Amino acid sequence: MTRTETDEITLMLREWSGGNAGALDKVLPLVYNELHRQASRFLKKERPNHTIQTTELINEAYIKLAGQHSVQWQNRSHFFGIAAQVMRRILVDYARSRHRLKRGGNEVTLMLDDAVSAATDERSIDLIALDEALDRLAEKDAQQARVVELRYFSGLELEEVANILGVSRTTVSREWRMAKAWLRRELTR
Amino acid sequence: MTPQWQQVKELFNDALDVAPAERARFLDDKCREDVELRREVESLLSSSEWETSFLESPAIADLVEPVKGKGKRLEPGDSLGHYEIVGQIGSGGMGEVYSAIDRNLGRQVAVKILNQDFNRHESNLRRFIQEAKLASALNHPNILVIHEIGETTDSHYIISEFIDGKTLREVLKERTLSLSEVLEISIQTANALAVAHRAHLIHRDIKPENIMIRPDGYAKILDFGLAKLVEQNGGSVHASAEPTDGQTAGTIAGDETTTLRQGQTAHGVILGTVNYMSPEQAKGEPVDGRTDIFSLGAVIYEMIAGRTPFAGDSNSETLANLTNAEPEPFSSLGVRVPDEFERLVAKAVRKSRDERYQTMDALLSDLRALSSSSSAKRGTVSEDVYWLYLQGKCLVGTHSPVDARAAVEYFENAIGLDPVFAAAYAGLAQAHVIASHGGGGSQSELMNKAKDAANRALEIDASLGEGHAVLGEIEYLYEWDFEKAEKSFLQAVHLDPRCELAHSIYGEYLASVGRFSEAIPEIRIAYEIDPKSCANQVIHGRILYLARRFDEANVQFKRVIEIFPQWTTANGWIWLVYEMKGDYDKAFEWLIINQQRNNVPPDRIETYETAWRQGGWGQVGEKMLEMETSQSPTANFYATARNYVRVGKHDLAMEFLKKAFDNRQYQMTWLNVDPFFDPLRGDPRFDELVRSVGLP
Repeated sequence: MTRTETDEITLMLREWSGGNAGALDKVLPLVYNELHRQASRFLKKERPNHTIQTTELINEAYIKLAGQHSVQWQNRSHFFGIAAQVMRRILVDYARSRHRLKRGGNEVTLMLDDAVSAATDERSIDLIALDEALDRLAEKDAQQARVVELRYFSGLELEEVANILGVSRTTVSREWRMAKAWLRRELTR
Repeated sequence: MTPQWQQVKELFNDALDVAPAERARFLDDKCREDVELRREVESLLSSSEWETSFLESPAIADLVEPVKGKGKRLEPGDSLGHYEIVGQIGSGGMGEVYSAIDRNLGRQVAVKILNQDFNRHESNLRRFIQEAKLASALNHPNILVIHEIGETTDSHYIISEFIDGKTLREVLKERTLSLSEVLEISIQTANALAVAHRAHLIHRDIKPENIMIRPDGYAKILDFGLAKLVEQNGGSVHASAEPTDGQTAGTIAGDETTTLRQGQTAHGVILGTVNYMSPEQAKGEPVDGRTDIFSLGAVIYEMIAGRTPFAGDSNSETLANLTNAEPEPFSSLGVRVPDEFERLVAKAVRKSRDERYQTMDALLSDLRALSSSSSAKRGTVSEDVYWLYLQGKCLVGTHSPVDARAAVEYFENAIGLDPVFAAAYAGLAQAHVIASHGGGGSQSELMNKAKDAANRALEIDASLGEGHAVLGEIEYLYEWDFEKAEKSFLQAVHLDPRCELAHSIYGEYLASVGRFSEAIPEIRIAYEIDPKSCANQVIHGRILYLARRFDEANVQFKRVIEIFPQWTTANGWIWLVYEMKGDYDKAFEWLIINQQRNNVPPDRIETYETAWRQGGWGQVGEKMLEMETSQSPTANFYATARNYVRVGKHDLAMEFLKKAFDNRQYQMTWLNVDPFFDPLRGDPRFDELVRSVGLP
């Protein structure tokens, strides 16, 4: 997303909060674009077969965001914060339903201690456990939790996260490093 | 943030800046006796070193991978219950589709295996099954028949009718559709959707991929499983929008409905493309039947233009267009379509659903009207010729001599390209007839041309209803051969019961000869065939006037003004009808309204007002006559004769009627029934004139 586009979002979110309903119409396509970019940035290169699922998840996120009529958007950063939370909720819900499906299908549920042996496998992350751990982290360090949401659930680069949180890139980098270490330890306990 | 956490955080970050070999000493130094602090930092440090890929790819990437390869593919020969798989015929967002043989019944069927992913919400699946059942109960020839819904241990499947055809998407990739094909497909689809809407089901995912076209031209709507049951409310779909507070619509109640709606939306509606999505769908708002109207409109637009109305290079651009841009008119895309068709499509894809067609039935009715007006598409194979013809037809439909002159050109161009296109000759004949009403000395010339064209049409195709109708029109209005004319009209209606021109002009004919009780049903048929024809509505009013049903006549004319405000003809009739009633106050009021609508200079209107104040209606009549004679001589002698009757100058009235007769003015066919000339009836000269016209 270019600089002008993000500024545009802020401007339009303000207009919208100020009662200009037309501004929402203008901002949503940009938001959709942004969400899609975030998700597909990673997936396109490495897993071209998954565009449909990506689209589906993004669409769901988009729809949920579009439905946030009651939110008074303050600025771009506020918006991305909410967007990241929405993404988190959707993805965790998705994981939960798949988890249930596995149980229903008589498959062995992935136990938490399996995660240790599968630690080198990035895809064995238990999102549900991570979600709970992230809640605990938020109690200790709200900023670190936000960094995780923006980085991991929204897929933003460090630079972008710094921009949104209004802190330096180094700070984000440090927060991110520690949050990861802390969460990882929580998950393997 | 607790002080302890703050401390851990600082130490952790600082320790990482220290070389690994130095860390132990560093921590010794910093933690001193605080064993717990040291253990905490050390465990975090080891956690951070141990794992490099942890959380490095976005969550979404962690999720999608495990699903891969889960749905096993079926191979030819595999069994699914008593169905034997023949081969895969497609795949889509919801799952893979195979053709199979039903071993019990020996018939070919289609099998759709639902994606694992699709039934990740159990409630979704339940709802899907329920709505598929409802859709199958619709039992409409244009909706895919569902035979069975079943499940195996690990998947759900749907057995449906096997359609040996192509999706509309495939057809569109292969070739451009002709207008009549576009109409045919649109009508069938709209028809099926109208039936579904009446059953409170909306489809929500109308797109070319979901419309199958059989080789015999039959269209079938697929994937009704994504349909949404809308709450029954007032019996009409458009009135039954889903409540916005997230409560359920339809049959499933409870807390899950909010997720359900969103889950469903995510699954079905905007999977893949947003090209056919209505703006309300795009915004995640509740949808009703009008969303299908939008989507079908987008499909129709694409069938004609080759792309969807709001298409952009990406989904986000399309979404932006959906809210900010207007669709390009067909003309600017280099596609020629009749204006009516352009309007129809534009109305279907309006951004605000309140401005769209409000029901699928209304859209269907307009599509049908358009189709019947183009049922004359026999005898030409060229699309270009057909467009020219339709343009001409549209212009003729306004009954304006100016438009008719333009229509002549279109028809002549069509004939130039296809000299054996019978319907174009019939259209040309009608255009000449209407052009001749504009007055001027060329009437006889135009009527001769009209007659030649009508005869030529019937030489090429003697079964062309419209050819007989227009011939009858010439025989009636110009040749005053009433017997022959009636035969032509009856022949036209017999050959083509939906020939609008035949019913319309026959209705007028019947009024001329005083058969009012037959005339009114006839004109009603005409405007049932083409409800948008203003001309027919005016003719209806005129028939009521000739039948001396003045109150009804003015109700009708006022209705015309309401529906077609730009149509000034009706205005001119209203004051005349009031005059006939003897209600001069109203007559004067409407005379002025009419003058204003026709942009008559204000000083002329003042002249009338002065006359009205000084000498009432009689004085106004004098002024009207004065105005008329002071202007360049008009060709409408019939109207001038009326003006003389108004002021009691019967000799002069007779003189002008004689002129109207010599000029074969078509209004002379009304002479025997026109209430205006009642004061002249019994005058031998007048009665002789009536006989000369040949009125029975």
